[in-house]
Formats: sequence, structure tokens, C-alpha cells
Amino acid sequence: MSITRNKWVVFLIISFFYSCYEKKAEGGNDDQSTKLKIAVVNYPLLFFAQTIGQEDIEIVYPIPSDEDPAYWNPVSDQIAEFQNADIIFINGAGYARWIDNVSLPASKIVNTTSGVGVEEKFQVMNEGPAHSHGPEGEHTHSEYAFTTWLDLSIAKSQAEVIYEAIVEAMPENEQEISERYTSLRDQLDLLHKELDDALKVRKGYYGSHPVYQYLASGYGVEIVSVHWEPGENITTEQWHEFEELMDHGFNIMLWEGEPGMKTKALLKEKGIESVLFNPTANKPPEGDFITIMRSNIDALKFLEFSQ
Amino acid sequence: MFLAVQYLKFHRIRSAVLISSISIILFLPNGLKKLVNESERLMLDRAKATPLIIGKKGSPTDLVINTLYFQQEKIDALTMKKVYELNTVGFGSCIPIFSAFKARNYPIVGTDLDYFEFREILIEDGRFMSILGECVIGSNVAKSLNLTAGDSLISSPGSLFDFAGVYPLKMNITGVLAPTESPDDNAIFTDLKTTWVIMGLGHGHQDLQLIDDPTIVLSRNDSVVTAGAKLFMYNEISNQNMQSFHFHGNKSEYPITSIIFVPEDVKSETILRGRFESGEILDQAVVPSFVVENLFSNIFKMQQVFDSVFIAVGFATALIFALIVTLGIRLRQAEINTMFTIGSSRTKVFEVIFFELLMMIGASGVITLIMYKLTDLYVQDFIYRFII
Repeated sequence: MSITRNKWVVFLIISFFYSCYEKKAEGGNDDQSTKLKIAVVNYPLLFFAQTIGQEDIEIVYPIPSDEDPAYWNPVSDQIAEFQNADIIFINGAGYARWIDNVSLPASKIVNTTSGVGVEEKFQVMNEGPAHSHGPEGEHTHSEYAFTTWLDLSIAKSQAEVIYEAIVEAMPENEQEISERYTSLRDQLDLLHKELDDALKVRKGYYGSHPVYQYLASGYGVEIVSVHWEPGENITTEQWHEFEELMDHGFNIMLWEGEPGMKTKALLKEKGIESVLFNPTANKPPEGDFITIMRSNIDALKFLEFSQ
Repeated sequence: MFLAVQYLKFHRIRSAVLISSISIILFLPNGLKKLVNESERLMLDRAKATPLIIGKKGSPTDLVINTLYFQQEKIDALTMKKVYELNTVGFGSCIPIFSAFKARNYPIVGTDLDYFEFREILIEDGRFMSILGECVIGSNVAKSLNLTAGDSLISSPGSLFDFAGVYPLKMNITGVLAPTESPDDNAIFTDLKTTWVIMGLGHGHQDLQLIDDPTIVLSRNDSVVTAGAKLFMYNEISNQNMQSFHFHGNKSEYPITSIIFVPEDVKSETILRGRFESGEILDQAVVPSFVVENLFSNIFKMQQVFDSVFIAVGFATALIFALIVTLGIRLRQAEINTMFTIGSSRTKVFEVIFFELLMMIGASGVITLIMYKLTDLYVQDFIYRFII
């Protein structure tokens, strides 16, 4: 009789603790599910969303830090992560071509450069020659320049689109979200003015890669680009091509990454200084979008004072 | 009773014909009514679950049948421009539908992943499509064609429209949808962009910059490369060749057959419909439940005609039955006289004939009931396979 009673007591104790554990687990899930899941296609959008959403959101960004998000290609599991997000922020202007070849729910996609009047600012960047095959006749595959955020006024518009989408999804947190957005907007406004001042000192620049189109259009300077990789030595043919561009008479080349010493020295011989202007398309190992943009501006200013 | 059974067994063909006739006459009016009622219920359920359909001006019935039941009636195509226009106008969200192609006689429905969320369709096996060239199949398609996730399907070269560039595309099946008891069970779903690849608006081919073969590259200069028909075009999309796939022209001009519009609320729906009706927005917006109700009101008129016919046929059958019984009694006069001679009473003779008739009517009743039960069991399946 006493053995049976003991069994019951043990059973009730186990049941009590199990029910407590279950409730805790359910509570944990509730907490998890209240977070807005946001997927982004590059670092600037990640930074804007993270700054605006902070602890209210969960970011989906499966792009490795050593890859260019514009040319990254997802595998099925990564596409599934994007499909399961609540909002998918894309850059627009044809950025991340993989989006064209995958299935994403249209209702969740928010194009950060549509509807805010920046379409007119897109610049066509032709890729490949005209060609013809089959009945449709001759055609070219042209692309827009897509590093839109380098014009910080466009970056601000993109941040605004992100802010509006997050507020729409989480109206209960509007006040905090608005405060964070306002702070970000003020920082971008300040950087925009400083970048404008720093760039306008010269009428033009060389670009090591064709990524600075919006920097040129946004700040009214000319940027003539070549296709040089920061880590690679420049070939004789590339030098010859560059010499033809030297008629422009610019004395600064903007680099996406730190150029090699040899290239830097050869450019200096020709009277051209190398300046690192990081477009921050992907997560930086240190710092964030704001600090890196400030470094870019500081590098331009430093040159101005040193010359 | 024994004599009655023996008589029916002896005249088994005549008895069988009579029992069948009575059964059919009893079954048909109610069976048809059940079929119509059940069809209406199922079609209306789906129509009521779809707030608004937008399509080119033309037959609203064809538009609804194409969009909801994937019957691929010939309707004029919209373009994606309409989706962008409606997204700009607001009031709700658009789910584009492009249902113009088939694979092994099942409709290929090009749409967006939002469709599955809207219809609350789950995946039973595998996953939803994620890249171009992938598809998910309805439960009936999987069962009928014995297909599962990991298999493939090739699109048929013909199409509802007279598209010039349609060519077969091998689609990889990534998932089988859970049964929904709706036309979704009989469809093959893929991304809208995949249907545009089937149509030839998007394609993948060898990189023209890397080809030296003069039989493929017919001419080349600094700005123009011309390729011949020998240029290899991929007929299957894989992770390896996906990057070579590209679309030509302006996507806002790409075709779709219709749009399922999900309004934010009733007010939004009313305003949007008003804009279509006033001509402020071109094309047509139809409320599917109104169209289906209208369709069934016409079918009900037809059913009333059928009912009258069945009453007339039933009356004629009853008369023929009475005639057969009367003639049968007359033909059996010698047999009845023999029964009287061996001592049978008039009541006994009446009893034998009565049991014969009762057994025939009873057998007809039982057969009719079995037919009703079978109708109950298979009516939905029949409707999904042959009606919607």
C-alpha cells in the first residue's frame, strides 16, 4: 500500500516539474516569435535595419563576410531562410542578381530604392557586347550601377524605407523605432554634408573599380573607373589602358580595398595618390557603416591637408 | 413468395431490365441534384475564399474558371505592369497567376509563394520551390503520375496562347502539397519566372564570349556577336547553369493570365472595384462568388428542365411497368387457371403477383440506395476530376 502511495507522490512531483518546464519552454518560444525576422541582401541594409530595429528584430544575413553580396549565390537552405523571413529588404537597381533566379514571396519583398524617387538616378552600366541568337534579334544585357548607398542621400532614403516597413510591421514599438531612425538619419545627414565637402575639393577622381557611380552623381564630381583588383598586380596592358585615361588630370584614385605597395608606388610616380574608399558592401571585420564612411571621409580630408 | 422468386428467376432478363429501369429513374433526379449541389458548394467555397480576380476584359466566367479551377480557358493575357500598377494604388496585395501550360495533361500554374500562404496550403513531402525550374505538385498529380519530391516533369510544348518560343523545360519536383480537396490537388505549381522560361522569355545558354566554334558564333566584332541555331540552350535549370539564365525585355511587359487581389478590408475592395467599374483602372475586376452563383443559377434553370424530363420519363416508365405487369398477367392466364385448378384461392394468386412486384421494387430501391451511397463517397472526387 505504502509503495503504491510513494509511486503516486513521485508521479505527481515529476508531473509538476514537467508542466513547469513545458510552460517555460512555451514562454521562450513566445518571446522568440515576437521578433520580426528581417532578411537583407547587403551590409548597408543590414546596418540600417539593425540600427532601427535593434533588439526587436532578428536579422537573416547568410552571406559570408569574404564574399561580395552583389555576386553571392545562395543554396537552397539559404533561400529557405529568406523565404521564411517576415520582410526581405532588397537594394534594387539590379543588385544581387540571384534574386531574379529564385522564388521569394513578393509580398515580403521591400525594394529600398523604389518609390522614393531614386529610380531616375539609376545609371546604366552596360555589360557585354550586343549579341543575337534565336528569333528575338540583337540585344545587350545591360545592368544598372548598384552601389546606391554611396550617395548618402540615397542611403538615407533606403533607411527611411526600412524604417517605414519595420514600423508598419511593429506599430506598437513606433516610438522607440522612430527615435532610433531619427538618430540614424541625423548621422547620415551629417556624413552626407561632410562627404560633399571632402569630395568637392577636386573636380574628379579615378576609381579602381566601377563602383563609385553614385558617389560621382550624388556629389557632382567626375569619377573615371578602371577594372583593377586591390590585391592584384597591374598588367602592362592595364597600365596602357590607364595611361589613355590620364588626360583627365585627376590626382587621386579611390580604392575599394588597400592596393598593393607596388601599384601604390607606380601610381605615385605618375602623381596619383591612392585613397581607400571602402563601399562597405559586406560586413566589415571592425567598425560599422558609419565609422567606415567616416574613415573614407577622413582619408579624403587627410590628403587634402597633406597636399 | 417461393413461386414469386421462382418466377423472377425464370424471367431473369426481363426482371433485370425492369429493376434497372426503375433504379435509374429513381436515382437520376436526386443523383443529379446531389452532383449539382455538391459542385456548387465546392465551387462556391473556393470562390468565396477568393476576394477579387483581375483580368483582361472578356468573359468573367472564363476568367474565374481559369484562375480558380485552372481549366485554362482561353482568355486574353494581362501584363505584369498591372501588378505593379495595383501595388502602387494600394488597397491590398496581388498574387499573379499564369496558367497557360501543361505537363502530362496537368495544368502548370505559375505564381508566387504568397499563393500557398493565401490558400493555407502546406507541403506534405519535400519543400517549396526555391530556384528557377523547380516545381511542387498537388497530391492528385503525385498519386496519378506516381511522382514524388526528387522526380522531374517535362512541360508540354503546346500552350493556351500562341507563344512562339515555347519549348519543353525539365522541371525538378521539390515537394508534394498536402491534400486540399480542391483544384490545387490537380495542379503543378511553379514560380512565375519559370513559366516565363517555358515561354522563352528567359533562357540560359553557353557564354558567347567563351565560344570560338564558327558554326555557333556566326559573326563577331567589337560590339556585336551573332550566334546561330546551333547555340546550346539549356532545357533544365540546375545550380550549375542557373547563373546563365536571364530574361530579355522589360519584365513589366511579361504576361500573366490573371491576378488574385487580396484587399486590406471591405472598404478597400469596394473602392478598387469602383475604380475598375468607372474605367479609372482598365481591365476587369470580378468577385468570383458572384460569377459562380450566376453560373449556378443558369445551371439550376437547366436542372429544372432536367427534372421535368425525369418526371415525364418516370411517368412513362411507370406506365410501361404497368403495361408489362398487365400483359404479363394476361400471358400468364393459363398458369393462373392451373393454380385455380389445383386449389389455389384468388388471394393466393394475388399474393404471388404482389410479391413479384414488391421484390422488383424493393430490389430497385436497394440498388438506388447503393447508388446514392456510392455518389456520396465519390461525388467530390468525380467533381474534382471531371467538373472543376
